[in-house]
Amino acid sequence: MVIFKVAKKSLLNRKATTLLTIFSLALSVSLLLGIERIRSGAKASFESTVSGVDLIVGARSGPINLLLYSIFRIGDATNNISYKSYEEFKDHSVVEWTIPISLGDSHKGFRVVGTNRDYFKFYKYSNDESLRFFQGNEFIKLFDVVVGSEVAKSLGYQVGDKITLSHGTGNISFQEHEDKPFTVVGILDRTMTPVDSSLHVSLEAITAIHVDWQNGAPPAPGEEITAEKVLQMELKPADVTAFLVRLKSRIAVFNVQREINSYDEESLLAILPGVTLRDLWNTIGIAEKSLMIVSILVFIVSLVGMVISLLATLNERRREMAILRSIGAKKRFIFSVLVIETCILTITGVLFGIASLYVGLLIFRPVLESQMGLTLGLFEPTENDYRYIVLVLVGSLLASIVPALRAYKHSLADGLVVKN
Amino acid sequence: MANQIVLHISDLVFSWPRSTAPLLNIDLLSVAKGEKIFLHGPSGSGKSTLLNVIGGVLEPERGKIEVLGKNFSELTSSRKDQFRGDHMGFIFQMFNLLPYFSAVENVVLPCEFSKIKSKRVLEHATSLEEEAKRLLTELRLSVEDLSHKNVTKLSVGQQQRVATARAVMGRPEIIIADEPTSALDSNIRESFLKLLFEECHKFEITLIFVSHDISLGTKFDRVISLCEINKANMSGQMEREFI
Ligand SMILES: Nc1ncnc2c1ncn2[C@@H]1O[C@H](COP(=O)(O)OP(=O)(O)OP(=O)(O)O)[C@@H](O)[C@H]1O
Ligand SMILES: [Mg+2]
Repeated sequence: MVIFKVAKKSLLNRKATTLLTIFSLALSVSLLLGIERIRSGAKASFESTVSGVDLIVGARSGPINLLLYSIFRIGDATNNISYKSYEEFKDHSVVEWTIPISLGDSHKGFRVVGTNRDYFKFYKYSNDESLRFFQGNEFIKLFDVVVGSEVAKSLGYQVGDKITLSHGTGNISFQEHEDKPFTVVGILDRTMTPVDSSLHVSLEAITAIHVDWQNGAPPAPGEEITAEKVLQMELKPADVTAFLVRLKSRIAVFNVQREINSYDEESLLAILPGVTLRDLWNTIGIAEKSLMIVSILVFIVSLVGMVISLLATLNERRREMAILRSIGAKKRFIFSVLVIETCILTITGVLFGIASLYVGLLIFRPVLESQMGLTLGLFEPTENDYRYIVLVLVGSLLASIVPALRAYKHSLADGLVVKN
Repeated sequence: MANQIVLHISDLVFSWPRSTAPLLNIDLLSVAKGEKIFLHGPSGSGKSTLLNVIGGVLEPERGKIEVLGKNFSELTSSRKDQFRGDHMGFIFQMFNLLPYFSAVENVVLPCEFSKIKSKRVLEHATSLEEEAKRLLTELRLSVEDLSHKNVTKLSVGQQQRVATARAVMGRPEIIIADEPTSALDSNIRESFLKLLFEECHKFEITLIFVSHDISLGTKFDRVISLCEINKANMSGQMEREFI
């Protein structure tokens, strides 16, 4: 078609402006899609921090708070729940398995999680991935500890190393449990979840290191119970901080949640992790939204740039339009040439933008994954990607009306002869 | 056949928007097939405006314009555009060529806007390019030379000849030339006119040629002074332009 030939050749005739316009469009498109990709990647890895868990149960506080300390190991529980309550629900007829979690101790800034061996059996993250051991195996003896990959990496631990735990999770005035050293028996594989920054011991170990403590205070001199003696004792945990529940059938989830929330013995809170994860994401999603707004603004700026560059050439092109008119071009032809030029510019811009996004992803994906734990899909455009591309095309089509209308008006005023 | 009327204008009144008095007021102007008309008048007298009206680009206030038996008032503006593309060829004073097309592409272009022109060309030639090259050669241009050059780098005389080839392409019934020679040196002017006449003669093309260089008029079949046929010129608007 002659109109495409005219549009194409006239764009090529202005190579420098055309290339600059395409470059700026491509840049803004890859920015737009890149930020969208990072956002969806961050959201996906956030939401896959825990998987396969139907309910999280803790002492009654806010749902987000419960999620933060039980899964993300951020902040502290205000209260623990009694071991009796835990056992009651653990043996509930519709419950398939549970994982108890007992928090409150730390090691060089990393959280210590008291749990049982079901943790290694049932804990799932991402798309139903189980925990795997990089080295060693589960804790068996009382003073065994299994460390996450980040702990092992940054502290340089190997299986067999001896470590001591600290009381409390704050950064100041640790009380060391130095009388009861632990042995590293296992190092977990990388999961890109908070598991990597945790140390795992048995619930009994947590009980053991606090056995001689009174009301949260270290034993008075002379009242210490040594590690050797503790080994002889029968240790029964008094409480846990939270527990994760998997039901035999998901259908029961709301009933069980209601049952737990209205439990008479103790005030408990059961949350659906998926729902609360989403709530949490939304509350921290302001940064993400403002990034999105900035990239949309960048795109609008490059649209305006394109319109300005087209408008700037229009005066020189009046004669060209008059020639076309004299040859038989209709008025709408003049209008359409500019619309088509804009379309060519944006479509090439979008294609280059997508191409450079993929090149960028290929280069930076490994870095993002290893440094930030962000797993980004490569060739898997999201629904939002298509939405943005459509938005870009529609936006530029609308923007093209400005120069097209201007050219149309010029051509009406000029007729076949351009005055100057 | 000899006296077939190609252009017939009667009771034409044209004024530019926002102007008080009409610029053109022509009782009658009739042009027969194959005629070579020389239209002259001082600058600002409305020659180019009249050509725009004949081309169907400007709408007269009233009056009848009949081209090849078609009454323009019965055509929509887009039909008039098509009609212009099918039956007319234009040559202007300068900058006739699209800068981003080669000379041959410029000459072929009218056929891409008009099926009639392209059909006419293909009755005698095997391809549009071939006919374009033939025309360029006929107008004493070396196709070989042109293919290496951007059309804006051609001399004005060469550009005008390429423009002539484009106007002749597809054998339109009418060629309208608006001061095509005024940018040319006087020695090339003669040969340019000769080539233009040859082409028009060969295809029985009616030529409407505008210039204010009255000395050229003797070569034409008929010389028309716009001031004489235009009753609107009584107003003061022309004198202003002369001062
Ligand atoms: N697009 C336009 N809008 C408004 N007025 C116009 C326009 N074009 C021309 N005019 C006016 O119409 C009048 C005639 O202009 P036109 O170009 O037809 O004269 P011309 O005889 O071709 O002159 P020249 O010999 O200098 O080419 C002038 O007064 C001019 O100012
Ligand atoms: Mg003029």
